[in-house]
Amino acid sequence: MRQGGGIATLTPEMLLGPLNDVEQKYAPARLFVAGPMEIPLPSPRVSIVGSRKASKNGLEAAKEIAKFLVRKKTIIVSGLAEGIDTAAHTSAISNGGRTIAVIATPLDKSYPAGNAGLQEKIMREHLVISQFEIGKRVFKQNFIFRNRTMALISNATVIVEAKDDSGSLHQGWEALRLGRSLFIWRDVLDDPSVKVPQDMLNYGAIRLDELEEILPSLPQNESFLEIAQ
Amino acid sequence: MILPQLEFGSLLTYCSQKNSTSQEVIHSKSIMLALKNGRFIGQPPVEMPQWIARSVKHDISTLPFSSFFQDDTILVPMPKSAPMQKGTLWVPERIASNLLNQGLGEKVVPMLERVIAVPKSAWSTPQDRPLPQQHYDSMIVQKALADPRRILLIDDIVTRGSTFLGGASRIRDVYPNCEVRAFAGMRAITYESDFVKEYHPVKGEITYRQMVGDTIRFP
Repeated sequence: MRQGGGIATLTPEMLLGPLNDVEQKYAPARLFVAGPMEIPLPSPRVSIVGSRKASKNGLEAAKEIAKFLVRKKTIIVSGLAEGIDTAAHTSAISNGGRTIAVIATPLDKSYPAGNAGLQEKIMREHLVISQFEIGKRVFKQNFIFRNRTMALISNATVIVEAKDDSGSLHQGWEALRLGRSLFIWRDVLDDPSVKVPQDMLNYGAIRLDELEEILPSLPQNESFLEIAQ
Repeated sequence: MILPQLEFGSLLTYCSQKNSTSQEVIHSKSIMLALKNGRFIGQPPVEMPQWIARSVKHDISTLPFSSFFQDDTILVPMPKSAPMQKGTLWVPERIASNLLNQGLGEKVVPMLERVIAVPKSAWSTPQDRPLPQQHYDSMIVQKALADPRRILLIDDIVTRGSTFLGGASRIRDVYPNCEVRAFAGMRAITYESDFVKEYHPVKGEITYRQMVGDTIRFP
């Protein structure tokens, strides 16, 4: 069905395998997906997220982090917003990697509208996921729900640039709740005007100085693990 | 005061050697991450904490640490490396609850609480890993019991054993006559050459080296 460019409706379990009760708490009942990527999703998957109005340094960092992870055969997950998200997706694609966009609109809409072309390309060659049914209105809360879903889909999350009111911080808190690794890029923590990411360090977030530090969080295989006794 | 020694048992082993291309080592790391993330293994899929508890119950008569599980043993999950928000995945608590569901131990009492974050061992170089004293200083004991005879600390992974030793020392401050031991679902070994297989139950000791303030775990 998806090979013909159509949309499939899946449960989170079909996409990710069985979920524990902490993961189930905010998992949407169903997800609408478009794109040729295999299901269940291959791993590892890392979210790269951050500000829409990103600085030049933030955009460069997002590109470099995505490029590094692509070299480590990691799928780049982001939210198709402008700024850091767009830099992460486009770097993944231009470096020959794979990417998943988790969007806050139904699959037939794009936000921002300027990313419609990128969304179409990801639908055609990678994977776009939405928990919002076609035809439904887009509410502000969609973005919070989407960020939780993105945390669920990802083995780890990297916040590249953020202010204290950034939506990506919702994803950070959710990653911590799920017990997943949350990395905060050093420049965010070195910015004295930003307080919330500093608080996150007190709840288990990890300061990211060297990109190699992400790798121990990433499973090479999540499917059909067995232990011989 | 940090205890000089602590007995521990563990069920599984993984090898933490970086850049290993051994499929066994890579698989053992995937199992470790499945445990840390409360994920599932096997067909039909079973949550890792439940798998650990079932395996302990199934093999209890032959496990080297079977004596750790007595009818009056209080199971105490180890806190994470940082304070937790309500509702956060807490794998040691899940292992402890599943052990209790299998009839192992008397009850689960989460009496140790982390009040200050310490660096995560997995993201620290060996020389930067928190020492037993840092763990001790970052935890408090909620005195929830009158006079327990036996406490078994429960964790997902044991590396050098500093977390266990810091927590055990805290508990012995409050309950000086209590027997304290430790159980981890998995132990880390550094070198591929020492790795035998994932299912490798062992009983051993964590020893405090007072001169340098760190620990040695054997095996």
